[in-house]
Amino acid sequence: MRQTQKLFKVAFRNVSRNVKRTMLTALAVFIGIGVVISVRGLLNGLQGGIKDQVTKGALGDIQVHHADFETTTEMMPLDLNMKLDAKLVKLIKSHPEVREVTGRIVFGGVISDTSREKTTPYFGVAVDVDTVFKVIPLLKDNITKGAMPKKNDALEIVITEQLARTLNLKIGDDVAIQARTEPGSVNAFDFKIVGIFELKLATASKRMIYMPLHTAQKLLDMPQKVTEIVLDIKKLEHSRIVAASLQKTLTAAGYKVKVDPWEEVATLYSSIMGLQNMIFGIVSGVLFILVLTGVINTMLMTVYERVREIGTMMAMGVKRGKVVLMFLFESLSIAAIGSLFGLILGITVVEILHQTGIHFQFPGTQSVIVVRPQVTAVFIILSVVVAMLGALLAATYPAYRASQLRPAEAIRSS
Amino acid sequence: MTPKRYATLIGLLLLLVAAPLAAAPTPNEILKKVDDVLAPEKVTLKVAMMTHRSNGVEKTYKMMIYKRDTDLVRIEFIYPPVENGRKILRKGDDMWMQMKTLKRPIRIAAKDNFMGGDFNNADVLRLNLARDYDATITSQTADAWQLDLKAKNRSVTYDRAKLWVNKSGFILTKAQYYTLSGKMLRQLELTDIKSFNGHRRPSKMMMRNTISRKTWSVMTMLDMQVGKTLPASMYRPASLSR
Repeated sequence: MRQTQKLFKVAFRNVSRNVKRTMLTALAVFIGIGVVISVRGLLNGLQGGIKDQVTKGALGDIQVHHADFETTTEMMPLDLNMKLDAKLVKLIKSHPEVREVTGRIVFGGVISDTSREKTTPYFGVAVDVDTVFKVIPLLKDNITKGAMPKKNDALEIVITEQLARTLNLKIGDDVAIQARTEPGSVNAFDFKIVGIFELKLATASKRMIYMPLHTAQKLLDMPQKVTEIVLDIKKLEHSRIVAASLQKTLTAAGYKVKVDPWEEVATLYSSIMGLQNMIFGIVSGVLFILVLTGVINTMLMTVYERVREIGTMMAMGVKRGKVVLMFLFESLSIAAIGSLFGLILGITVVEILHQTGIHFQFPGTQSVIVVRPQVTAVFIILSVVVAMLGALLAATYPAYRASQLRPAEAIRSS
Repeated sequence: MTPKRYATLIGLLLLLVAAPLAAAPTPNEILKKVDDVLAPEKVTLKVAMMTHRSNGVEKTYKMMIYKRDTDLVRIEFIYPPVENGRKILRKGDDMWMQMKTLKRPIRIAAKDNFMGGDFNNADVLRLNLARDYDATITSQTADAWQLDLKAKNRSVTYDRAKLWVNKSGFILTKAQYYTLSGKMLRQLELTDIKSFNGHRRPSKMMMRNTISRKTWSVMTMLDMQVGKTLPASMYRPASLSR
C-alpha cells in the first residue's frame, strides 16, 4: 500500500516534469469538459423554454381525446368528443401525479368584423376559464392586452394579434362568430373582444381565438362535451409514464379515449429536441475521441522519453504491474486537472448565462422567450467520470508498452 | 292558282318548316324554361328540408322562401321553433344571415353548406341556370334532353354540370355537379311532380353528397304560389334585423 502511495507521488511529480505538455493535454480535457457542459446547459435551457411554452403555454402536459382523434391533425370533427363530467374529472385526478384537469373544445368557423363586411376563418379553442390557467399558466403571460373572460358563459373572446390586424379589431369591438354545430347546423353569436394575445409557438394557428367553454358548448350545440382534456402533472419528465398508466385506468373504466403525452401531440418540437440531442451526442463523442487521442499521444511520448528510467525502476525491483499503475495514475492526474478546470468553466458559463438569460426569438414568430441554461449534477458528474475513464483507457496501451520493456535493454537504449 | 291561294300555300309551307324549329328550343332556352319551372321570377315557397348526417342523425327544418326578380331571395325559418328568427338573404352575389343571437346580419359564402346539409347556399338561393351556365345538348330521346353545362365564370359554385330534362313541361329530373377536374361532387334527383295551383314542378329534391356518400338532404315543396312575393324593401340586409 505504501508503495502504491509512493507510486502515485512519483506519477504526480512526473506530471509536473513537462509542465507545458501537461498543460496542453489538460487544456484539451479542460476545453472538452467545459464545452460539453456549457453546450448541454444551453441546450437544456433552450429545450426547457420550448417545453415550457409547449406544455405550460399551449398544450398542457398530457392530453386526452376521443379514441379516434388524430392529434397530428389541426382540426378534427366535433363528433369525436367526450363528456367531461365530475366522475371523469375525479377519475383522472385520482392519479397521484395529476395536479389539475381542464376541458377544451377545438373548433373552427369564420369570424366577421364589426362592420360585418370582412370575414376570415378562425381556429377556435374553447377553454374553461376557471381552470385553464392552472393547467396552462403561461397563457396568461401571452395575453398582451386585456384579459381572459372571467365567466364561462360570457359572450367574450380573446384573439391573436394577427387576427386583430387582419380584421382591424381592438379590445371592446363587436364581432360575429360563425361555427358549424356538432349536430351539423350553422350557428352564430355576437362577441365582444376582451383580450389580445401573442403567439409564442410557430406551429400554433395565427388565427386562433379563445372562447369561454360554456359559451362554446352553446354555440356548437354540445352541452357538457369537450374534444380534449388537458392535464397538468407534477413532473413533466414523467409525461409518457403517466400517460400510459392513465390510458390503462381510463380504458379499464370503459372510456373510449386516447391519452397522449405532450411529446406525441407536439411531435414537431419533440422530434426537433430528439434531433438536437442526437447531434449533441455525436459532437460530444467526436470531441471525446479527439481529446483522448491527445492523451494517448502525450502518454506514448512520456513512455518513450522515460524508457531508461523505466528500465532502471524495473531493475531496482519495481513490478511490471506497478509500472502500468504509475502511467495510469499519471494520465488520470492530467485528466483530473483538466476536468476540474473544465468543470469550473462549464458551470461558470452556465451559471452566468442562467443569471443573465438569453433572449431567444422563436423561429417563425415575433415572440421572444428568455432561455435560462442549466445542467444537472448528474450530467456534470457523468461527464467528468467519462473523461477520467477515457483517460485511463487512453493510457492503457502506453502503460502496457512501458511495462513490457526489458530492463537491461531499456537502460542501454538512448 | 290565284295569288291568294299562293299565299296560303306559302303560309302552309312556312308553317311546315317553322314547326320543327319552334319545337326545338336552343340549349340556353331550355335552361331558361327549367329556371322558370323551379324558380319563377316572383314566387313564394314553403319548403321542408331534411338533412341526413354521416352519423345517422336526421334533422328537419321548415322555411318560407320568397323570390323576387332574378337575384333577390329571402328565406325565413319557421321550424323548429329554436330556428325562429333565422333569416337568410341573397342580393345579387352577396348573401347574409341573421339570427336571434346576432345584432346585425353576417355575411355567408355561396359555397358553404346550407344549414350544414348537402345543398350549398347557392343551390338554394341562386337558381339561375341560364345566367350562370352555357349549355350544350349532348343527347336526346323522344321525351328528354341531356345537357352539358359549363360555368360562365369562376364565381359559379360548380364548374360543370349535367342535366336531364323532360321535354314535356321542361321538368328537371336529375342533375350532376362536377368540379373543373371532372370529379362529381353532388347529385340532385327531382321526383314527385305536383301541381301547385296549376304550376307543375317536382316537389321532392334529393341532394346526395357523392364524395362522402353517407350524407344526403331532401327538400320537399309544401306549397308554391307563383306571382306572390315580398315588397322590394324586404330584400335589404338591414331589413333582416327587424
